[in-house]
Amino acid sequence: MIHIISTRVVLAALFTLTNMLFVTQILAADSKVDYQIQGAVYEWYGRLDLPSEPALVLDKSASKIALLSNQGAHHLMSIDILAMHKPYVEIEVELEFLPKPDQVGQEIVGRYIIQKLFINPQTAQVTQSEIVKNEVDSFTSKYRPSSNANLIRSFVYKWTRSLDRSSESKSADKLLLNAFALNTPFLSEESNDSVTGYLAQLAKLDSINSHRAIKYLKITPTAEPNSFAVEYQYKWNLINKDNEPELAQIAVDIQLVVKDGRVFVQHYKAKYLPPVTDLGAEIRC
Amino acid sequence: MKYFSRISVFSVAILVASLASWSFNVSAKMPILKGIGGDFTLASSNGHDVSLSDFKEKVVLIFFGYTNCADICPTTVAHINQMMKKLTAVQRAKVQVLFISFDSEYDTPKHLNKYLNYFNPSFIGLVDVQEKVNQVAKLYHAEFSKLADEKVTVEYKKLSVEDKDTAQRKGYLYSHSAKIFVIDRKSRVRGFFYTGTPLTDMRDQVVELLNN
Repeated sequence: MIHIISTRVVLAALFTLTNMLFVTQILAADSKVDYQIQGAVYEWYGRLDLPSEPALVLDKSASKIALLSNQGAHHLMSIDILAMHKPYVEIEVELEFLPKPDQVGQEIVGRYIIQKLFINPQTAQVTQSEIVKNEVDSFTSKYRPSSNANLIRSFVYKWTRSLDRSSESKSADKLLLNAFALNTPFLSEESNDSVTGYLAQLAKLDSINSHRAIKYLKITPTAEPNSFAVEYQYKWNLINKDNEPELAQIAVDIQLVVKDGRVFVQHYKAKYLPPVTDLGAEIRC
Repeated sequence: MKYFSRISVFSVAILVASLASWSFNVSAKMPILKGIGGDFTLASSNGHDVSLSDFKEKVVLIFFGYTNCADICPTTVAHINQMMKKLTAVQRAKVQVLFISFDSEYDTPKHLNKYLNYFNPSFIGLVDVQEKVNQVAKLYHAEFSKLADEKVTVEYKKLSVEDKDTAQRKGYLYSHSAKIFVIDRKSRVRGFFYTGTPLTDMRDQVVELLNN
């Protein structure tokens, strides 16, 4: 039986393979982050710290549940994929857990924790967790809540993943559209003034290997309660439908609020940035 | 069995070698840069308006500069001309160099014609009212700014664009970015060259764009 595979798919596979074989060092500096996994992990920890959420029902060890209850803040330091054994992806998360103090301003002793998470890649849901290391800090810390920041990161990562999927004409996460109201001010780098119009335009690209790498993500609380300004940049690589590589630098500014563990976008604006050039080579007179 | 395993090893070696060579070609490919560039129309040294879209099917090299520039502009234009000499006559016919002057106050199409003729008569100079030039510079994120609000003598220039019997005028000095914009045959920005870019690298990239 002869399988007819499109040239682009073959090219993409060869491109990936050759990258793996010959340009590992370059990739090491600019390796692709799996935003689906990252989004799932940040969402899990963001929800864990919500006052209304039941905590850690998935943890095997009952004695450790109290340590990671919803009375605290999980500050993530690293997320590593350990193994991809079907149907789960095994993740190791390194984090600092700060228990909620009894009094405002009280110094607390945190914990250094390494935790394994098992994620179903189809649903992007954490199905199981396991604490690998749990050490009491030898210093005190000021309590810093983390739930909103983790939920916002999760939104940004999932949104990014969704844009990449749309650019490859694959189905995007429709639930993310719930974060945008009909009248949410929206402006894409291609001047689309609606989310749906933007996603539809991306779908027409019919590209492959679309990857937006997030750079300089900054989450700043604003004067309004639970309101945040989110800024970041994308370095967007893709192979277009004519098998040509494309590259863009995009700046994104989002205003959003977090309510009951859900993110609502109030304002979204993206614009192209000038390409990054070799300033060392560029002589100015 | 041994025979087959030798064939397998040989095949893998061939595949790896091919992939290595293919990988080199891919990494050498200039990506299409999104969010920069676009069509424009400006008065030219040819005596008529010229648009970027006039050069579809050609590779276009654009440089933003001014004729009063003492150093980087003549050096860069000369560098581009050296690269042109490395192309075959057929390839050269498919490459167009555009020199866009942002010094609308001093430079004229006539100036540009004389200036570029020192290097290569096929190069086209473009200049227009400042507003139109600014618009093009904005499209391409080309930066320039006056070094001072005072005009200075331009007698230091080796390449005089004034007629011999005309009194030398004074002009402004500018600070400006010095990249050469590389535009493919579909008028899309593909990257940049600099005065320091090796001529063979420039030629190879241009030829690759001509062949695709």
